[in-house]
Amino acid sequence: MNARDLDSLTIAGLAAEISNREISPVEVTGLFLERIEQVNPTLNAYVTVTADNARADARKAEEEIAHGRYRGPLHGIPFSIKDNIATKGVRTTAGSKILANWIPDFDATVVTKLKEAGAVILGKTNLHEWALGGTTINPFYGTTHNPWDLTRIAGGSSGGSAAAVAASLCLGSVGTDSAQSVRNPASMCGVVGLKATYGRISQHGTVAGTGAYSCNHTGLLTRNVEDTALVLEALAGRDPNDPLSADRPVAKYTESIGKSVKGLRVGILRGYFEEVMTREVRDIFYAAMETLKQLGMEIEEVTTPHMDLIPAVKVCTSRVENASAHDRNLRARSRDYSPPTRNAYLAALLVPASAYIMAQRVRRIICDEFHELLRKVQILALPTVGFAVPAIVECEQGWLDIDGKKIRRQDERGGTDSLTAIPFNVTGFPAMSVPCGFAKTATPIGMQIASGPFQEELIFSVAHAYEQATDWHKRRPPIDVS
Amino acid sequence: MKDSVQRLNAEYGLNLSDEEIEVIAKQAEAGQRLFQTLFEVDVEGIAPALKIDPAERQ
Repeated sequence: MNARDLDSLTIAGLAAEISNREISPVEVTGLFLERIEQVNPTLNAYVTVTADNARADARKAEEEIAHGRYRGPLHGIPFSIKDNIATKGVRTTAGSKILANWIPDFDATVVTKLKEAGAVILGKTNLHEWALGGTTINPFYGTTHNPWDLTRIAGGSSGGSAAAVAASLCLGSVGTDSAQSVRNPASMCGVVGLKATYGRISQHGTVAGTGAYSCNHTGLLTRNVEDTALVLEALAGRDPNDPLSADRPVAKYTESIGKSVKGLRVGILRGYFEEVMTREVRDIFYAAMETLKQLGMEIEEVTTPHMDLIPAVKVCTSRVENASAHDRNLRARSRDYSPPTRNAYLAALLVPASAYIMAQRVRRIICDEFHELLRKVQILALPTVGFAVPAIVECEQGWLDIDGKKIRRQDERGGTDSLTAIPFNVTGFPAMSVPCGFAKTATPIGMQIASGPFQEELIFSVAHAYEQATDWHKRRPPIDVS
Repeated sequence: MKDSVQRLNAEYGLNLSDEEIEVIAKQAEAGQRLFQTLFEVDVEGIAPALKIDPAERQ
């Protein structure tokens, strides 16, 4: 095996070879670390590489497997962790200056579970400052570049995780998603990103203030749907350290791979986000819907009565919940935030309590309407982001071109790139982004496949069927590792 | 809104410039306008959706 072979690896494929002792975890880890050394200076996907720990974990995995103690499909598999998820003994910055030197004395539950499954953690990935944005243009740790085009953003806030998976700097990554932050970068980097049902994966150990309490989710980024199912099986479940985690039994998600999708009803979700959707993205998305139709699914267009209020509910909820976590730092270290981030949190302190409660009342109406909708259809689909991956310079200037119309990248509703994703943060329903085509700029486009609470198995079945009918997920960015 | 930001500036010891106060006030005002739409919804008999409600996790 050499560095070029890393591009074709998947978790499921490598797991089979590791369990048969055809490939050594030490060899694989060495190749990934070599690749990180070559490529990361250009991409800036990792902010911390834990090479010594990774080599030690790989040696341990190899020894255990040699002695017949194979732990399962994540044993010896190289992972990365977004840098707002606590890792014992390893710096966890949350993309902030304030936590630049914070070394947690505990692991987040997802990290504990990954370690128990025998995964090899290669390092911590870059993110938007405090996970508050969709570009991963970070004033303290630098910009993460899109592996498909270095002049463009990787998306965010889990931009480092998505770029690392796409560029073969790991095979899976754990991120967080409170508005778009797993699905958006997954879409922009051409990988699979899952935000499972609220509470499905523990959030214990996610840095407070890197996502609203009631909207945030731990999420997964991998190269294909089957790999995501494997990782979710290992990481999902009730956690006594997270009172908001769900106590439902964890399904055998991999069993939903390959299940028939004939006759399933898919609703194309229509709404306010279409005003920031280009013709190009719409065409690519509707071509994907044709594929679903050819696979035997029934397609119709759907919406809900209070759809337009989703941005107001989301922004109000996020601002208040996030600001509460930043109060102490705003008093003591306000100059250690970048001005836009500090200003957003200060403005959030002025939201009246009555607005927050009203947002939660309207949120219940919206959730009820989505439940009602999912009695008519079983799956919801819409583009992950309404436009092709923007250039870094466009984002820095704060403007986007939507079919010749100049629009602000950020307005009172938040980032324009998050508008398609937030319905599932407000409702907590599961949603996955899968690659569904390429823009004229040769950068990936993704679509979301969503369903009702704890219906991840349905999502896996549909997403996998789509993946089998296309080859978008097999394409790799043109990274030079010669 | 500018007054509210100024009070926050004093209470939190932020040392914000006039320009920064202006920017934050504008951002807060834009938020208020957006949130105003929520008050136009008939929420009679609707309880807030709080995630600590175990029913939300079933």
